[in-house]
Amino acid sequence: MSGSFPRAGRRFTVGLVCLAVVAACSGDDDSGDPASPEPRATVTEDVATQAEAEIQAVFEQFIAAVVEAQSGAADDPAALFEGLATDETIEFNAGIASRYADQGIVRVGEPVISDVTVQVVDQSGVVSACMDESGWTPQLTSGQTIPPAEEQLTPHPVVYEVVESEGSWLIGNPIEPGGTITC
Amino acid sequence: MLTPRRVSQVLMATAVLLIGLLGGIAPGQAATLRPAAVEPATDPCYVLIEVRPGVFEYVNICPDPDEEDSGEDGGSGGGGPRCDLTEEPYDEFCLGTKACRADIPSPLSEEKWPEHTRPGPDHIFTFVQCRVPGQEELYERWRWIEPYEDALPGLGWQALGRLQTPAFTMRFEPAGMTYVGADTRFLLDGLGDGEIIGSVAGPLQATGMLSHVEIDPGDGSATIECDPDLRSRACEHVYLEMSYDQTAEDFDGNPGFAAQARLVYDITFTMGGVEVNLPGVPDTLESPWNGTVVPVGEIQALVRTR
Repeated sequence: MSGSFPRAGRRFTVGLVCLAVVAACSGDDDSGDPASPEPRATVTEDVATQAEAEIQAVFEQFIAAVVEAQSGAADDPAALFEGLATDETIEFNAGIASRYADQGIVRVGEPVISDVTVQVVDQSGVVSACMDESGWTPQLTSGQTIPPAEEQLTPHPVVYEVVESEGSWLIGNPIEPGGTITC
Repeated sequence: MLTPRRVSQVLMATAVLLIGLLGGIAPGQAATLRPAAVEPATDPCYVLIEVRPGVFEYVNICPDPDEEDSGEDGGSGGGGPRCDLTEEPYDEFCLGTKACRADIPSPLSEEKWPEHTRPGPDHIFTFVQCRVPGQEELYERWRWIEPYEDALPGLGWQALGRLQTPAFTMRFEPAGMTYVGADTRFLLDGLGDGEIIGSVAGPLQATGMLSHVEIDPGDGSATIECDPDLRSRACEHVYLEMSYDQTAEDFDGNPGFAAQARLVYDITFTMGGVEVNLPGVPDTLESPWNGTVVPVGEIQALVRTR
């Protein structure tokens, strides 16, 4: 698992160096590390933007999984997050789904995600977005509606850690937005 | 018969009646309609909790049918526990017939608790896991609970951690330099009125009263217990050696003994205003040490420098 981390780190460092001194980046600096597969500047820059695109895609799939898990339609909510989130985050989301199932709560519709931004540093990063939950209504499986809480009606920021694991990006723990993002 | 006067009287009466009816009904209707329109929003059972930063979860906080008539969640209600508390870790308290454990202290910070639904000041909002009789699956829920008795020490530690001892300063007399064989008196500033009060941890509050001060004169002699405000236990010490060979120096560069003091508080815990005893939780709290450098000279040296 951690075997790919040094490589990715090196890749990122190489990218930084190359951005600063493009001329110096001829690929020679890679000779000391035969394991590093992408030594060229153009490639590493692409890797950085590619990572951001990958993370954004994973985040979107993750939110879709959250919606699916809380819709009450999935028999095994944890499976929805497979390959999208860390074990802890999978367990946490499966927990919400199971408590909803237990209480007969479902959420119908979906939240509106906007302003997704991704920051990658080394083999970890942060994805943040605005989440508008006003169209993601709580209901009881009996059909009775639950009045949406006031807090649900105002868009709010969400920030998640992302970590690289075995070549793919996983959504980790939610973290405090800390007032840096407004929605 | 139907004189103009009569007609106008009838019209007048109708108008008055209508006005009266409208005036009377309108507020009445508002009174009956408003609760009906707003009723869903006041559903007391469902609240939205921010269980992680930016992650919200709807929670039904109402007790289950099996918990009815057990106002006391702590298992202290009459008739003894109604659940089987023999299986660890679900052996802490009963919620009706469910045998439960709870995260104490709560993983949710207090500002995230649905305060408007709090059943009483002694309740805390936390994550509860229970065994349900005849059911394989665990009951897991965010709930208000009254911490059961054995959980109080955990909260006591939390309450203790919220007590802050004041930042004090230490000085001595005679100021600047004292002398071998003389009475050196230590004084502390910034102690306030001696009482420190912590914020509430669940149902518990910790209060500290300054009991005494411990002073380490820094010359290798024993720690003095004293009270800087009371003459009966004045913080005095007699140095028997000069301090010229000490490594610590005061602001003027004079070598001196590194004397230090700390405050010792007696701690009491109260729950709803009533003092409670918490086994295993310390009943005293010491402040960090804080000190000053005390240069000690000889009287002869004083005579010579003058």
